[in-house]
Amino acid sequence: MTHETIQQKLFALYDGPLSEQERKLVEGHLAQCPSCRKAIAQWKAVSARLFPPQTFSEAAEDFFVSKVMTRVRISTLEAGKFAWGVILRWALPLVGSAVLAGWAFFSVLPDTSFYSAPSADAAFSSYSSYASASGNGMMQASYSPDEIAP
Amino acid sequence: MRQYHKKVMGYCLSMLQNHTEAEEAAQDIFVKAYRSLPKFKGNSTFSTWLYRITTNHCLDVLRKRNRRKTYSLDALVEEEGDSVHRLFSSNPVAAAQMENRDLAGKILSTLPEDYRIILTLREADGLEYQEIAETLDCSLDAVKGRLSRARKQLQENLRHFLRENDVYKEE
Repeated sequence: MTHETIQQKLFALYDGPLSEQERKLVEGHLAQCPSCRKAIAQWKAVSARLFPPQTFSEAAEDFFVSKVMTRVRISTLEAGKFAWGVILRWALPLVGSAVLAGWAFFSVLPDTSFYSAPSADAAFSSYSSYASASGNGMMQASYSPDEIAP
Repeated sequence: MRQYHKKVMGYCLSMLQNHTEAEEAAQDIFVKAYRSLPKFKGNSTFSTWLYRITTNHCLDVLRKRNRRKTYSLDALVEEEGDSVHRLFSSNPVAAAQMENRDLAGKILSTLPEDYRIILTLREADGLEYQEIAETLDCSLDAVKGRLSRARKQLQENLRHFLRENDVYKEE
């Protein structure tokens, strides 16, 4: 292996993913090459200063866990509230509108049949009942003054 | 949750560079993961899935947070040159101090977002190449290439400090 090839493998050695054979080759080269040793040592120094190991006390960890679990519980509750919110915001007005529409359809709309012409059957049955009630089968004017007067 | 708290929190800290925001983000991530648990199909490992959520969440936070200050290399050298010198000084005690985290964050923010992510996943969280590829949804070759470019650029950005202080001698 040339010096250039080894240089490419230097960080692989540092990171760990080298085969046993490659590792031996690179380590053998490192033992003889001051510039490669310097490159690795320099990187180790940079890494140690810029990425120091993180330490957290057990108490800090406990506090963190309790905070997260509280938030999880709150978010679960909020999820339930959200469902009720959707029901109150959308479902109730929808149901209310449907009831109103139904009431309008069944109560208000039949009144408008007053303005439409009666069917022949309805007119006939109405006349027959009127004639039988008056006794002679002849159509007579029997309106009371109340019915005529406005 | 305890098993992953340190990793998620560390990743958020490296990405967001602010302890309060990182903790808030980590909480959001665990709540999000808890809610999305039924969607986890087991196609990847749980930690990869969690890292994916963490990466996306941190990116969302960074994108929403317009006020976040990224440092240009020149501005960093001008404003924090002495501190960077101290960070890479040969005094290991001074270099290990907690207040250096802020400075480390500023140095990392001179890198493009994708370089910062991949370096954090590899260096801070110690993910294997394959895990990084699954987390970032890219190929192994892409991981190797991006990681190599990220390291090169970071070392290039720090070359004055590294050369002057010869930190590698102590390692």
